Amino acid sequence: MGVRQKSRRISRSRSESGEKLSSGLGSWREGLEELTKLLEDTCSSMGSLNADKLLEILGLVGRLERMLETGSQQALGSGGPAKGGLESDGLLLIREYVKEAVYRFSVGDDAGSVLAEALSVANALRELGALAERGVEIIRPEDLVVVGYIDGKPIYSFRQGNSSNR
Amino acid sequence: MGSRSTRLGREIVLIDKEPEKVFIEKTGDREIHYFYWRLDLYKPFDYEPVTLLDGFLCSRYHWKGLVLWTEPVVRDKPLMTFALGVHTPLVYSRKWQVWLVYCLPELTLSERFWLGFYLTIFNALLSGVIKLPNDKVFHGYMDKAMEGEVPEVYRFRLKEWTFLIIVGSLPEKLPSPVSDRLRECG
Repeated sequence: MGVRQKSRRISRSRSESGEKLSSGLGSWREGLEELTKLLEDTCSSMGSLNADKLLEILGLVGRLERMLETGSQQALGSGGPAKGGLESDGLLLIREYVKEAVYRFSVGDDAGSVLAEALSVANALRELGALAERGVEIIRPEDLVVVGYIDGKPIYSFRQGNSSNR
Repeated sequence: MGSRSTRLGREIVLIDKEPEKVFIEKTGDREIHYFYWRLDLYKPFDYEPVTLLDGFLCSRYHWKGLVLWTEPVVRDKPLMTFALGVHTPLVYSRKWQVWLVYCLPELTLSERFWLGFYLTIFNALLSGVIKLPNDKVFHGYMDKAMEGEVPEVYRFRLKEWTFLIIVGSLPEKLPSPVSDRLRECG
């Protein structure tokens, strides 16, 4: 399939994906499970990769991003992710990888490695969600504070300290 | 359980997983041991290196992180597992104190995300929410060792990290390759 034909397919599929997105948001956890499953399926059957599949993944990412944007407690769950948190970075990273996969697919290059990276991030987001449900604070690098210096460079550590009794 | 010595050398750590091979790279008097898996989730190839820097156990985290383990649990050798499906080296530590030093303060989106993920894992270990299993059987790996070079992109470059993580007490003096790198940083 030539580049022009693939581009046409992508354009047509985008509207189909948009229709699907308007059907409802569901919960963050469900959406993340769905995204991970879709990426797993896609990575394990790269021979049948098509533009519709890639756009479906992007649609799911968009759905999860909108959940973070709106900050709906019902969708995100108590103690769930928040806009600007590590989860936002993860979703953006997945979006970037899938966009790269779309490009590679459209020019006939291998998209498998970048989709695998996207899947790694999705799995990490699931791990983070499971930890958050158990009460673990999700840490972003900018959450750390300077606690001293070593060889002239600032040392960062957890705001609450490193005590195991906290 | 226990390490053993072969003509290739001795184990640096004991492990509880089964890599397909362990590549041993010798440069001068330094050995780097790369634990190799053919598949890391759906990604082909994974090489997770460990070495000793001035006596400190050292591993790599997600390409750009150098990790120094200053207080490993030692049973003949430090005990190391590979966590979370992506073979992240995690050394059993007497203290889960975590310190971060940046070489380059501006991280890429990927570096920022994966650093946050790693910090959160440490936060969970520190707060006792997750515990590493203590009944695992740790073993040596020299039966899988082979001398040789790993592909260039996977080589452990001790002076090319972007951030340094120290797990355990802060050392009074950093290993010289780490200090050298910090002096070069912006």
